[in-house]
Amino acid sequence: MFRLGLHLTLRSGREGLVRLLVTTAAVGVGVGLLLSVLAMFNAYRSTIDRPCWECTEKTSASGSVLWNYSQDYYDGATIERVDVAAVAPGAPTMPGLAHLPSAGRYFASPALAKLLAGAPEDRLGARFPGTLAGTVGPAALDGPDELVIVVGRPAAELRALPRTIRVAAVDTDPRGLSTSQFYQFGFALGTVALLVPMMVLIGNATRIAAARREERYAAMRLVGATRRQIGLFASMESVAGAVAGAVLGIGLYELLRPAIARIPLLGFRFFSTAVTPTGSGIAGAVIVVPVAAAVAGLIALRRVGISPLGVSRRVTPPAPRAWRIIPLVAGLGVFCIPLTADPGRQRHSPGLAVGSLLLVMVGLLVAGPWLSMMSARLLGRWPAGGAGLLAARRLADSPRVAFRAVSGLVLAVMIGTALASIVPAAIASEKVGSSGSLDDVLRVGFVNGKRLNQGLDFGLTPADAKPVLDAVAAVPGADPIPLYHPSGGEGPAVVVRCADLARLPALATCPAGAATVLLDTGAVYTDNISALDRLLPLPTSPARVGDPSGLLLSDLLVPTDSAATLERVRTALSPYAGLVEPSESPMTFGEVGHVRAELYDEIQRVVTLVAALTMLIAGSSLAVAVASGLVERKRPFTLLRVSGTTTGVLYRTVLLETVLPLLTATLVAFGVGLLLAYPIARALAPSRHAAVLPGAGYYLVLGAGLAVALALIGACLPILGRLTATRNVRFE
Amino acid sequence: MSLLVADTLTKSFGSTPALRGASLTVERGEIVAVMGPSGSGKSTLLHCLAGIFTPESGEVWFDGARVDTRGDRERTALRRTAFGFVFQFGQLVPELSAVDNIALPLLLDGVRRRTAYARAGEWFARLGLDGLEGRRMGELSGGQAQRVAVGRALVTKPAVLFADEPTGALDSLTGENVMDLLVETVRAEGATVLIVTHDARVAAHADRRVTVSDGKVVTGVRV
Repeated sequence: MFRLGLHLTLRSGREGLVRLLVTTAAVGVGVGLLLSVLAMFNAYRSTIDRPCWECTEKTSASGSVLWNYSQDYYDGATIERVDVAAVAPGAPTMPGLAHLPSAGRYFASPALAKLLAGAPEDRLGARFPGTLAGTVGPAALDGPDELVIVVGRPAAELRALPRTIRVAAVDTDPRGLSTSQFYQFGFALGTVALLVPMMVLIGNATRIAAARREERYAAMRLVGATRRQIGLFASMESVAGAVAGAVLGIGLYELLRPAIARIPLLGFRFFSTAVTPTGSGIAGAVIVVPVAAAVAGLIALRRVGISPLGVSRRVTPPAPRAWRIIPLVAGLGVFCIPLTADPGRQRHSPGLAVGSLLLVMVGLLVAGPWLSMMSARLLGRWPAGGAGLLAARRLADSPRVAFRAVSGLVLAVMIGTALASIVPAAIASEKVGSSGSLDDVLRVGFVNGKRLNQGLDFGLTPADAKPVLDAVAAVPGADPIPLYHPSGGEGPAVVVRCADLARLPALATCPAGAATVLLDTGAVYTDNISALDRLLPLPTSPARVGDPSGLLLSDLLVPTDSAATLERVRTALSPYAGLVEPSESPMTFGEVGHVRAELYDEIQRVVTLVAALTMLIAGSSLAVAVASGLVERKRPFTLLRVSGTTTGVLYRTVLLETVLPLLTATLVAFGVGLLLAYPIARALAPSRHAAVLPGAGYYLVLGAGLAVALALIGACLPILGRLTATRNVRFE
Repeated sequence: MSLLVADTLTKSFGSTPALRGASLTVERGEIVAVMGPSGSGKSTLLHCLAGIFTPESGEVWFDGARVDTRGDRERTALRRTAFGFVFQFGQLVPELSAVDNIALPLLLDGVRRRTAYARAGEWFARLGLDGLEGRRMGELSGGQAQRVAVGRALVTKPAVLFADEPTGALDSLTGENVMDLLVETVRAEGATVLIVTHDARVAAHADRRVTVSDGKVVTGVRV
């Protein structure tokens, strides 16, 4: 039976070969994309699961290592720095190192080692005492571009530094990320966005010349082939295409792999070794997609089982009813209402969000035939000659078939519109402030190192602050503005001299005649620059302090005149890293905004790529469906030709019956996409929810997608001329 | 005991009735021609007797056993082992060669490949198709293709051959040749034949003619 099935698969003539090739290509693209998404997900998982040596906080009086962790910043990148000193035998090491460096030596990550070799000493190298002794291995790093340095220091010197702790072991627990649910949601969304149109393509591919194939299988049923035997023949063809496609997909993935490894999903590149779908992932994709293809093939041919006479006796199916709109509305409700009620909720229930999103997508597919029928009825009221009449009748009689051809593209439009609406809203909320006049101002917050291990206490005493201020002031081009705590306690308000503030009017301005003012700087320490942008200039109130230099130094704002000055200031501050507020790299406002904007830009690029790929798959699906539909209707079209209908009328008929559902469903899909995007965009940028529309780039992609779709339909039309040549009137 | 019995069958397609209480009895070895105007229900009657359709009411019996109450699997097995079919067109698989097509019912029934092809090959000489074993359907004339269909229908040595307008797509001379061959072969095989036709020349080959009108068997004439 397998031999007979294989024979039918491989020797089914040109139609069979085309069907096999299209199925192979569709499955190949699907497997390739699925493996790519899986590889990215695994890289993401392995990165967030890496041992978090930076999290080492557990002190031990009998520990053998002194440990001082801080963050620095250089040319747009954070440097993770840890100073260590062994104080007893048997000192533990950290991931990525065979042993900790001895005093006067340091280990740097490969990227930082390369930077150190090229950057001027006073901008970078002078921050790290000692000489390079080796590199930090991948086990301690997020990716090949991460900047990490482990500096060996004399124990006495390190003990004197603020924030030095004594530890018995380096922490190796997985780090995790607060945004992991967001990323998991993103991965799920991306997978669905790519796979659903691909399954539609596979479904359309298996339907190529389905009616003719149904006749063949019906003939076999007539002479006694069981349903199981027919199912075997049908699925063998799909599986043959799927197996060939799986091999193609693995090859495609291997081609894409270097490009995938370069995508900085978390703001940095992953190690290429981490970007792997893993053996089980490959096995899963290679099994899941072909099985799905086989199922799609069986579903496409399910009617053959009904009768050995094929579908010739099939009665016209009932017209789609209005209930078909219900799943779509329900899906939108489940997706939007919880988000509208609680904008942060989607982060807590990604399962519900993905489930309702799937319901929306399925709902759109269910509602599509009804929408096609309604548009056909509208067309029927204004029949544009013979072509309009034929197209309207065809659409009204077979709205399911008509919609099936455009279903992939419709899904692509919905997903693309939703993503393209969400991402610009998020980016807009981040980018606004980064171009402000604070862009080149470095901000540094200080803590009282002496009380560090008993809990954070903000501000430096005048004695601790003096060397810091002197070191920064010594850098040519740097002119620091100190902010002081009014009473030495923690609080949002700081005291600043009006003479200093006059150099930074964007931050705040003093009332006339005032020498010092109070500023509420609670908003200054935020990485959401747009929030600060909306608050500036900050309100001031009179301070009762004449000279604040006797107060605790809270923050330092350092306007810089060049990148070189900026790095020199950071180098000057590096000996006092222990005094800087933990987990806050000394960064300019512009750098903070830039980091976020870069990440969102990257996300937007990935989204555009996914949308373009989705539309490409969907466009291919449309072309396959249109070509397949023409082959299916060879007989009625030829009879129309024979009875005097011109090819022009037939062309217009095919165009109308394809373009009408395409445009109707695209409009609905666009609206659904906007509805999906609205609550998410509102959650991302609560104060900017007045309008959520995709950027111009998306309209270009959408327009190009529709143009390509129309071009593909146009490209199929010449087939119609050849198929309906009058010599074809004898069909058997 | 009659080999085939249709007892007051009714069958509709949507709201269109095709059979309205049709009854027919066919004896073993008999050749019966079913005639009638287009849309009278003669093909539907044949399909019900062959287990292709299940009637809405009435009974179908074959060799003393009910057919209409059997499941699809059993009716499929019946078509594979006890029935043969020759239709006007569309019954041969164009992807397969002539010998593949004749061997197909045997292969589907699990007969070993070599045996199936040996038995299929025997038919080519009997049908006057020598040398055409490897030809596909598109490479055969209409008459040759119908003879392949006859071979395929009889290769399993069926008890009943159902023929629906077997010469409808052929010119009169070719149709006559095909009918001569068909009748000669089924007589030799001892098979029973039910032929649906509107062509009196085809019906002339039958032992008995019945007429279907408006979904009922109205007359029967022994030739």
